[in-house]
Amino acid sequence: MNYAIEIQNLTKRFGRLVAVDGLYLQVPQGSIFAFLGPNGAGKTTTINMMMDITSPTKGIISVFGVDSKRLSPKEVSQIGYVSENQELLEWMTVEQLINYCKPMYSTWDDKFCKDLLAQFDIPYKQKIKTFSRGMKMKTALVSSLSFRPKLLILDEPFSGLDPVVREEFIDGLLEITQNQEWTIFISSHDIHEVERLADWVGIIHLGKKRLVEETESLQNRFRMIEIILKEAISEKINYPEEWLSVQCKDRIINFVDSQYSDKQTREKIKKIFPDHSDVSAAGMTLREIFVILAKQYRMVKK
Amino acid sequence: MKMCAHIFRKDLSKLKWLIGVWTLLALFYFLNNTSYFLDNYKMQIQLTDINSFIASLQYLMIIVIVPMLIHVDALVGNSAFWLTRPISRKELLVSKISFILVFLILIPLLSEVAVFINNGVAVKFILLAIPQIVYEKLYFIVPVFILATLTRKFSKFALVGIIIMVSLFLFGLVESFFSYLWDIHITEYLSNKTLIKTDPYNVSLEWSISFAKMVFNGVIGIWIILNQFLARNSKKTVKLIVLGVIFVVLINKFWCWDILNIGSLKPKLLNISGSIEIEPQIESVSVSEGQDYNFYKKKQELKYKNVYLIQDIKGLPQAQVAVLDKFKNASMKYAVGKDLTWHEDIVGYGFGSIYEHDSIDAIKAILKDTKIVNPYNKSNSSDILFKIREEDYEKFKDKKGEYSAEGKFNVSEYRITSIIPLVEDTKVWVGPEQVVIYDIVENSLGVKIVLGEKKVDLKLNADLQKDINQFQFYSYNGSSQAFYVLRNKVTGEAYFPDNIDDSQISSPQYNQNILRSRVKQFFYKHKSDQFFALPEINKEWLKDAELVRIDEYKVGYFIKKVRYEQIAFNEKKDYTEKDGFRIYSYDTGEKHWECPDAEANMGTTCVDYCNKQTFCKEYYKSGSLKLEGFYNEGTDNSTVKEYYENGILMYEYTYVDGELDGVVKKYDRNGKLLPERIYKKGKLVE
Repeated sequence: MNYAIEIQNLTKRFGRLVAVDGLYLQVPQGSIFAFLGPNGAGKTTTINMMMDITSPTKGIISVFGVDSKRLSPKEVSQIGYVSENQELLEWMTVEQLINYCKPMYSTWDDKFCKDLLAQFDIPYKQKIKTFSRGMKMKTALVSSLSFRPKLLILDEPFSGLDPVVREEFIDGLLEITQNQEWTIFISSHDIHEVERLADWVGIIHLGKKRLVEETESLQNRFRMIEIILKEAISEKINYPEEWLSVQCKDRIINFVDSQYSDKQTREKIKKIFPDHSDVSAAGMTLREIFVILAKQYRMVKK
Repeated sequence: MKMCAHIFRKDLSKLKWLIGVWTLLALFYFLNNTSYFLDNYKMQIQLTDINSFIASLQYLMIIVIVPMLIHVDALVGNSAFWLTRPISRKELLVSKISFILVFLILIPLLSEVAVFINNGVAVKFILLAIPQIVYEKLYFIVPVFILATLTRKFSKFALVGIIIMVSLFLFGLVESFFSYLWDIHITEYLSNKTLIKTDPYNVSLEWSISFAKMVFNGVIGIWIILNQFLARNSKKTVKLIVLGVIFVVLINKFWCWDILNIGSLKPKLLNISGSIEIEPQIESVSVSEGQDYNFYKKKQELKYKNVYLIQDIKGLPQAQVAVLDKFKNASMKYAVGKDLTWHEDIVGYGFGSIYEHDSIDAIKAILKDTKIVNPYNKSNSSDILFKIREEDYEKFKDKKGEYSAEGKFNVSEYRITSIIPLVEDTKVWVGPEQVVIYDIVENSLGVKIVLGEKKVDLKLNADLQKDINQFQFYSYNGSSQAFYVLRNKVTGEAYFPDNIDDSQISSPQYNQNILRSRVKQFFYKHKSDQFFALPEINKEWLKDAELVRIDEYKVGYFIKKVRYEQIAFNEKKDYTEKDGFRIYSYDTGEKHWECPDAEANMGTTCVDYCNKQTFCKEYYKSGSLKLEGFYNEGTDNSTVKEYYENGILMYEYTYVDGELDGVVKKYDRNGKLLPERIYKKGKLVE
């Protein structure tokens, strides 16, 4: 498998604070990779190092096989970047910004740019500083998509957007990416935002990688299980490690199985609770999986 | 390269209005310094008036334009637009530097060159001046540029700038305190160890120090800029800046390598005669009352009377030597009645310098057989020597006492180091410093000389009073001070650069002068009473002229101990009264001027008190009449006549309501009437 981004033993320290701690990550080409983690997990720092905005303390990031510290304008011209923190040249009109960006990219597609502007309903002649936050983000997206980048990096692109604009943004992104062979690396602290987009998921917590997996595989692996017993249990039971967030209430036991397999799970249940009357397994959304995992990481930390 | 031009265009688009104003200022500079408006006299005056304002505005604009240029593509922080675009750091650096070179350096440089060309300066001298102009511009722009690269927004830039300025000020205070200790105690010790520069003639070493600093500043400046752009490492940049400041301070203090090795170019000494004998004796001492002074110490208000000490030192060969009295380490005891009381807090403030023998006397003395036509010296005002508590003052005032003081006095020698013919393209080396007569231009406003690599512009014009101030024509060269004097070999007249400043206006001596007669009011308003004493300097006069350079060298010091006995306050009376007239005399006893006896105070004139019979007369030392003013009975007008020393009428003019008004007639030394000028309410109209 070819990888658009490869991260090896990446570490970034700010004084005593370790923002990213020995991170290993591989982003397959053509994937839409959701880089998830709570606020302060180290997502933006990782992306900044990816774009050579800051330098790593240790480790290597390769983008298209090139060390990020040696990214030349040629490689950067294949990367689109949109971030909640990025400043646009707000004293310009949209037209001026487009005219400024266009000569930087040999692959700039005027027609595509116009289509995007129309799709996002962005006024061409208006100064960017008069725009709302949502409009500014959409303008940034247009300026980063119009040259058909091979890699699109979106750092918390939905932060601060109202729900309507957010949906528009996601719809637009979905529509565009359906027909393109692009790698999209999208970071967010809320999986709900990227659920519809992502085919790969990576979770980072306190600077460390917790999980990297295809979305489909992840969703197949996690199930919300409910067991109904004939009688309430009184003794303490040691549950398998893969059973997360186990809760008992009278005769009902709920948990998340992180290694779900219909046959094996039922066998384990039968072994632990031979006297059960019913078992049900429900699929989980990415958001539900993310929440469960986040709780788990916090518990491990404690 | 393409990308550099692209960023350049974007920056120009952002800053187009500011660059427009900047260009207009450069254009204005060109017009103001060329003959474009020469036919329009009023316009020329107005332009001159706002010239200094324009210069300040240019500096202010640099402080605005440079940060805006850098902040639009900020180097600090992680959010700048350019960081995620295919723009290399080198391209960014080249485009920003190009922008500064094209707009902030090239435009003003072109305007300066245009001034040169317009005034007919030779190409080779223009080429000589260009590097210096560029260097001077960069000297201000580079620190602003570096500070801008360390900040993201103008507010932070301004805040950091203010903090740096305040820090430098505080650093200066601390440094001067330690320098004081250093100078007093350590330098003398180290001078014996031949570690520190001690040779006052070693101009070469001074130049080596300047050169070392220039090279060092250049290298570290480039290093800082490259580091900040290419590595975006602000911490390292700040470290480099701190390192740079420390090294510059160390170079100032410790550099003792004469790397330029131009010691053989020590100035030749000309016209030096006599020897230095330092055997000062106190001829007379007078104590006069100064102003009241309130001083707060530990929240307690202490009221003092300031007391000036004026002393005449006899025995010094002032022809070659000027003694700059500095009462460093002075101590003083004063008597209150029979008790000799020591007051710590009295000597705590105001000590330092008390009295400076004016160097002009020494300079005049070495210009033998030359009459300085504007011998208006800096007044010999004294600083506060000591203060007396108000309650002690009353006791002190009527009683004679005993004082002693000890001081260290610097001795300076003035020497003619070069005589430069006033001919265009003359190039003379004075030590390592080159003096070039760039140009002599005569136009309807007078004569202008452009000389020196620094393009000093002397406007010799008796009609433009303001231009007199431009005769402050001296330059500092290491530890010595250099003066230029314009001397006409045939007539023996010399024009001395004068220093007319506000402190002079407010000095008691000057105030007395301006009260002498109503006609002097005009001069007061124009801050000079030398106006009509100027020679008729034109190209004709300049044909026989030469530029005399005089350098000051500190040749040593001596310790003086003085002990004054039986001192009391003098009764202040510097005039005599006779037949209803006040007669003021020169120091040497000759009558100076006279006017009706009146209780004339500041702001009043003798005319107001003279019952409409007034006339004021001023005399030369030779006794011949210099000036007379008549009140025109029945009107508010007064007529003034001034004479040459040989009795020939020099000027005739009229005052109306205290303003010069009407025709001003001027005659040459042969009595020939020169072109008349017309004034209206004090302003020249024709």
